[in-house]
Amino acid sequence: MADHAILSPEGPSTSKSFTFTARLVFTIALVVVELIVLSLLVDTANLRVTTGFSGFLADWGPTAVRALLLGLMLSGIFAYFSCGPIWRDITGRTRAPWVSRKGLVIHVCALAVFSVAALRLFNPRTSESGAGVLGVACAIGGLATLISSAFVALPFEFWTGFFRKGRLAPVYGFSVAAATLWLVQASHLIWHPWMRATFSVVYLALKWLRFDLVANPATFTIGTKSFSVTISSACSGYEGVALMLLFGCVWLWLFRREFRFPQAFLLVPLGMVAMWVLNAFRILVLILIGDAGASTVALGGFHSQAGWIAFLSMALAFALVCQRVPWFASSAGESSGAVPAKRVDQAPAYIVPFLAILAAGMVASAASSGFEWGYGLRVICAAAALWYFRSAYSQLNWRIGWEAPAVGAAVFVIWIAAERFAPHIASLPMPPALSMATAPVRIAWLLLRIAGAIVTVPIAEELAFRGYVLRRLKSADFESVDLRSFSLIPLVLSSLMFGVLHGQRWIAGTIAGMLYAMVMRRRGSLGDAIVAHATTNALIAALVLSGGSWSLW
Amino acid sequence: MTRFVSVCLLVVGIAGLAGAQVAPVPEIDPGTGLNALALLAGMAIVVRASLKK
Repeated sequence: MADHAILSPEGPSTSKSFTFTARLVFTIALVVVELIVLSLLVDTANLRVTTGFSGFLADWGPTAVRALLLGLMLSGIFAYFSCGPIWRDITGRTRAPWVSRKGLVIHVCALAVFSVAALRLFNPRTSESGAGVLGVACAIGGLATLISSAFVALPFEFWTGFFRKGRLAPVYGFSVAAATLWLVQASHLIWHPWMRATFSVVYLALKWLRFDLVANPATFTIGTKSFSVTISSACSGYEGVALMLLFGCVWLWLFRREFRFPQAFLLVPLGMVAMWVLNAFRILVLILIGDAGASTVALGGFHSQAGWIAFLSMALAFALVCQRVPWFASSAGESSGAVPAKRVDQAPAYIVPFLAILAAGMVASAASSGFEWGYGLRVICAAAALWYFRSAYSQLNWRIGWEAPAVGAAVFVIWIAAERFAPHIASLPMPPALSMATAPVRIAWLLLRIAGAIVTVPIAEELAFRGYVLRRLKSADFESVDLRSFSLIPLVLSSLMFGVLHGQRWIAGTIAGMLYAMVMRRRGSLGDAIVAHATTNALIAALVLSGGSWSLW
Repeated sequence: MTRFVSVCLLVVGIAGLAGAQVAPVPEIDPGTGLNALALLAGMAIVVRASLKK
């Protein structure tokens, strides 16, 4: 992907250098950003009108939007794989400007109509009389906004090519979207038998373990005399099975040339069955934890985290089994050819410390009853991973300049300023569990929390996002990409990923990611990014400990 | 064969997509889901990298 063209000093007259991928990414980003902004401003729950066209919109609008977006996304995927090279060729040859002025003006006008209509329609004070016109304006404006967004960056030739070469893609895409949404509705029919099957397995396991059972098949309540739970539809395991099905299909499709078919198909149902059994085991363990007297842990951290831990463990097992067992893999253990066999891929050295923090966080949360006492596990696991891969980091530039702490301080100011404009993030005092703990325990926890914030987290996150993701988005051989030569799209995407992982603070997180990348770019030193990140975290820690809101942690 | 495999996986994948859409899991906050997704992607990269050794 020749993204370096984006930062080219060339003007609009040489705009043919803008790649197909860059134009496509821009179009998708435009729609996503507009959707996010509108969803922040408009609350569809405010619609009080239940009759006429607006009532129809209230009932079917969200489903229609979901179907439309799913259909468009799937059509794009079908079209990209069936005739992507043809369009890349079309957009490579086009002399169309990077952004079409006419297309942009039409799009802004359509967006204005849609926004004004939506803001007025989804207002609790809107009366029935004016709602009909607003509903029609909303539907037409929304459709015009979506259609016009397609012509802002992608030239007209692209769309004529689309309808000439890939005309069946929308048919496939919308058929699959319709089938998916129908299956969503149909899947509700199997909830009850699914819950009954999970209930039966847990019942038999508890009976085999010789517990004094409390079981009511009518309400799906099961447990022991001291602790029992009700198995709801969400706990029956279908979502884990569905995720496993999706993961299995995506994995087999992505690396299909490496597997032996049809036997590799067997892995999908095997993974699904194993996932369902693992979910029943999760409920069994939850009951045992509650029966042992730790009901707050069972219903708190374990209940929500164990499902994800089970799914991730199964996904890892699936990936390892299907690529290591010769009966499933056509070239088990051999190189895929992207990198010469003698060269060791250094990707694990960059991302494993960050993965260790995430995994340790999940385990620590699963063992908690609200407050994460096991935070130290994150520090220990990250430090162990960094120590294990220490030789791989010796080739990196670790020089540190004065700009690094200055940028870190600037990010701190932005972070706190963003907090002021985010009233939905509540200001919190020190968690009661920590404030009521004995002084040695409290101090030990705080020291580990500070060590994590200032040492292990900045190193692990900078290695992952600036050291790996930023460069990997530019080239498959990421180690060949100089830390000073990254381009715009990898910068934005890697920073966005970094920001999104900061939850509600994603905007501040994205800006922080971009600034850390820019300070790293000056000297090509990852050390600069790490020091900037550590400075921000140190200032936040100081603010929290000096009486600031604990929600910052 | 590749086309056949692709079609088979697509058909089965639709069911997976549908199933994943009905996974509201109200007790899990979005942050946990994102962390899990990041962990899944990272694990996939590490598994793929281990094959190149």
